[in-house]
Amino acid sequence: MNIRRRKMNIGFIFLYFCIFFSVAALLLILFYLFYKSASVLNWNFLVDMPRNGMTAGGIFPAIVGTLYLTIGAIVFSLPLGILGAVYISEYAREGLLLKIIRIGINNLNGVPSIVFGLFGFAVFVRYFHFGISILSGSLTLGILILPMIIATTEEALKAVPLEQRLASYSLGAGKWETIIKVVLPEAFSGILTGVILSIGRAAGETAPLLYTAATFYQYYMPNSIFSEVQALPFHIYALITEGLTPSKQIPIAYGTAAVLVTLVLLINITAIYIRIKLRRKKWARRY
Amino acid sequence: MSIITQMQKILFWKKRNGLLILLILLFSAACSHNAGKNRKVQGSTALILQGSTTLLPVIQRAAEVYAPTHKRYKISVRGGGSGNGIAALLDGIANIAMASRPISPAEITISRRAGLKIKETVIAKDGIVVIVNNRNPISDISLSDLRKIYQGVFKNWSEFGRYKVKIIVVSRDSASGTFEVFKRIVMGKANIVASSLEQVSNNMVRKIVSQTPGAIGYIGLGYLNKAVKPVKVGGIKASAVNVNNGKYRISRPLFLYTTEALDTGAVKDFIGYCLSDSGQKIVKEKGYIPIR
Amino acid sequence: MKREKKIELFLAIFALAAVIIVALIIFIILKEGIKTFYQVNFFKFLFGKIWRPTGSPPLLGILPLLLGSVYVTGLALLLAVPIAVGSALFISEIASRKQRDILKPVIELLAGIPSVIYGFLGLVFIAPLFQKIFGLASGLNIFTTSFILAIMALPTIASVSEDAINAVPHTIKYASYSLGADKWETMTKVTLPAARIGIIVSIALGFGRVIGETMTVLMVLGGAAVIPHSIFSSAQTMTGAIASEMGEASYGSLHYHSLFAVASVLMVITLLFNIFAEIISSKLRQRRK
Repeated sequence: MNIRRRKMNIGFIFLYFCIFFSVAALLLILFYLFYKSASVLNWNFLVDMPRNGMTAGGIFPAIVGTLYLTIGAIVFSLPLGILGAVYISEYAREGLLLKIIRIGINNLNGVPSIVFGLFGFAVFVRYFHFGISILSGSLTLGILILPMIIATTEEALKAVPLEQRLASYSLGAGKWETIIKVVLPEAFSGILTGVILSIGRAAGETAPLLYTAATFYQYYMPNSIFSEVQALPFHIYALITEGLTPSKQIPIAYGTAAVLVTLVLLINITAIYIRIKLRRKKWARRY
Repeated sequence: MSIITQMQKILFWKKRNGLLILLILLFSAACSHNAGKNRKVQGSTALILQGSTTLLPVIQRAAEVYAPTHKRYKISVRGGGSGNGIAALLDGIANIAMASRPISPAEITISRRAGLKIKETVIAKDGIVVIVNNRNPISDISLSDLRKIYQGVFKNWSEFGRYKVKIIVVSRDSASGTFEVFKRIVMGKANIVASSLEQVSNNMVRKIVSQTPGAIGYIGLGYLNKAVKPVKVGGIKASAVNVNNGKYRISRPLFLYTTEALDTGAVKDFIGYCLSDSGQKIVKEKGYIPIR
Repeated sequence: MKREKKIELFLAIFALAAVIIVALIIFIILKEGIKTFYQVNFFKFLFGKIWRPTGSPPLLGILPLLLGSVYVTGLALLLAVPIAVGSALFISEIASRKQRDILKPVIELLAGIPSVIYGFLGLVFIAPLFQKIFGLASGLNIFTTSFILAIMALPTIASVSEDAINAVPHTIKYASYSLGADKWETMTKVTLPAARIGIIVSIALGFGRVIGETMTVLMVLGGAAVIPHSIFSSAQTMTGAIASEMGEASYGSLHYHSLFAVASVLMVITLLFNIFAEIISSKLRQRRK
C-alpha cells in the first residue's frame, strides 16, 4: 500500500511540475521582456521614427511595415482560402480529387518557413522581378498562412448543423444561395477565429521575410507595394546582428520584442475569446 | 439524354473550362516575368545599398545625414556581407553594393553574362583588427601563430602564457568580405578550422568575443570598442596610421560597386557624397581611414 | 442548375490553387536543387562530411547540417515530450473545469510566441546563463538551442496529446478503478497506453515543427558547420545554413543550387513526417468511428 501511495504522490508531483513549467515559461518570457525594456517603452516608442542610426527613437516604421505585410498576406490568402474551403467542405465528393487536395493542403502545412522564404525569393523576388518588396513578402506570407485559413474555415463550415442547410433547401434556396445566406453567416465566428490566428502567425514570422521584404536602415516611409519595409520580427533580429551600438540597441530590441509579443498575444487572446463565446452560443442554442 | 452522356458532357465542359482558366493564368504569369524588372532599381530616385557590415556604420550614417536634404530619394541600407551585396547588385535587387573586398573574377563573369559593366569606387581604407576577450592577457601575436590558431593547431591559450582557457575560434561566414580578406592575407592556402563559429556580421563577432573568455575573432577597425581587446600582429598595432603607411598588413580598401547603367541620378549623387568632404569626415568619425 | 455547376467549377479552381501552390513549391525547390548534381556527386552530397561551399574547391557535404538538425531536434523532443505529456495528463485528468479553462489558453499562447523572440532571448539571456552555470566556453550550442526548441515544441505536443488522452473512453478508466487501481496507476498503465498512438502523432508533429525552425537556430546554435561531437558543441542545421547563406549565393551559381538541394532534403524529411502523422491519425479516426 505504502509503495503505491508513494509512487502516486511522486507521480502527481511530477505532473504538477510539468504544468508549472509550461505556465512559468510563458510568464517568465513576458515578465523578462517587459522588465528589460522598461527603459524604452512608452507611447513615443510606438509612434516615433527611429533616430541616430537606430539607436534612439521609436519603431513606428516597423509597426507600419508589419501591418502592411499582414494585410497584404490576408488580402491574398483570405479569398483563396475561404472559397477553397467552401469547395472542399460543401461541393467536393469523396474521390481522387478530394484526396489530392487534402494531401496538398496538409503538406503545405508542414513546409518549414525558411523553404517558403526560399521559394518566395526565387519566384517573387527574382523570377518575377518584384524585388525585395511588400508584394513579395505578402505573397510569401500569404502562402504560409493559406493552409491555416483553409483548415479552420473547413472546420467552421462543417460545424454548421445539417438541419439549417436542409431547412434552407426546403424553402427553395439553391446550394450557393444557402451557402451565402445561411452557412457562411453561421460559420462566421469560426472563420473569424481562424483568420485572426493566421494574422497572429503572419505578424510573427521572420524567415519568410529575410530575403523577400524586410530591411533595417530605411530612410523613407514605404509608399508602394514595391517598397521594402521594416517589420517587427525582423527588426529584433537586425538590431542584434546589424546594429552597431549594442548598449543602446539591446534595450530597443527588448522593447520591440515586448511590442511584438503583446501584439501577437492580443491577437491570440481575441481569437480564443471568440471561440469561447462561440461555444457558449452553441450550447445555449441546444437547449 | 442518358445519365452517362449527361455526365460526360459535364465533365467535358469542366475540363475544358478548367484548362482554359489554367492557360490564362500561366500566360499572364509568363508575361509578368519581367513586370517588375524596371520598376525599382533603375528608377533614379531609389537608393538601395546592400552588402558589407564593415561599411555599414559609415554608409548608414551617411545615408542618415544625406536623406533629409534629398527627400525625393528613397534610401535603404542593408547588411548581409559583401557577397550578399554584390549578388544583389548583379541580380538587380540593389543598386549599390558595399564591399570590403574586391569583386571576384567569378562575379565579374556573372556580370558580363548579365550584360552589366561594373563600376568600382574606393571610399575608405580599413584594417582588420584581431580581438580577444578582455580577460585574455595576450597582447601580441605573430602572423604565423595567428594562422595556426585559426587552423586549429593551437587548442588552448596556455600555449601562449598562463591563461589556461580553451581557444574558441570566431570567424565570419562566407558572404563576408572581411572573411575573404582575412583568409587571403592571414590564412593563405590554409583552411580555417571547421569548428570555428561563423557569424553573419562584425557586430556578432565582437559580441561573442566580448562574452566568451577564450574567444578570438577579427573585425573591421571601425567596430573596435572597449568591449573587446585588440591584439597587435607582429608587433604592429592596427590603427589608421599603420594602415596608411602600410605597416599593418591585414588591411584593405572599402568599395562601393554599381553598374555603369545605374550610375546616374541618386546613385551617382550619393557615391559623390561619400567621396566629398562631409562623407569622408563620416568615414573618419566611424573609425576608418579616409582616402583623401 | 447550370449556374450551380459554374459556381462549383469556379470554387474548385480555388481549392485546386492550394494544390497547385504546393506542387509548384516542391517542383521549383527540387528543380533548382537537382541542378547541383550536374556538378556534384549525389552521394558525396548526402554523406559528405564537410560543408564548405565557398572553399576552393567548394565542398558540399551536408552530413554536418543533417546531423546538426537531427541532434538538435532529437534532444529538444527528449526534453519536451515528458513535460508536454505530463502537462497534457494534468489538464485532462487532474485539472478542474476552471483550471482547464485557464491552462489550455495559456499553453496555446505559448505556441503563439514568435520564434525570433525565442531566439533573441536565447542569445541575450539563456546562452550567457548556461555559459555561467555549466562553465562552458560558449553558450551557443546544441544544448541551449534544444532547451529553447523544447519550449517551442511543448504546446504542439501537449495539445495533440491532450486530445488523445481525452479520447480514451471512460469505461476503460472506470474498469481500472474498479479493479482497485489508484489514479496514478490508471493514468500510467491504462490511459497513456490507450492514447499512445495519438501521443506518437503529437511527437511526429513536434518533430516537424522543430526541424523546420530557423530563427532560434540562427541565433543560438553558433553557426559552426561541423559534425557535432557533444551536446555542448556549436553546430549548424539545414535551416540555419539556408538562412545565413541564401543572400550571398548568386543566382544560378553552384552555391545557389546547393542551398536548394539542402532545402529539398529538408522538405522531403518534413513531408515524410507529415504524411506519417497524417496516415496514423486517419487510422485513429477510422478506429474511433
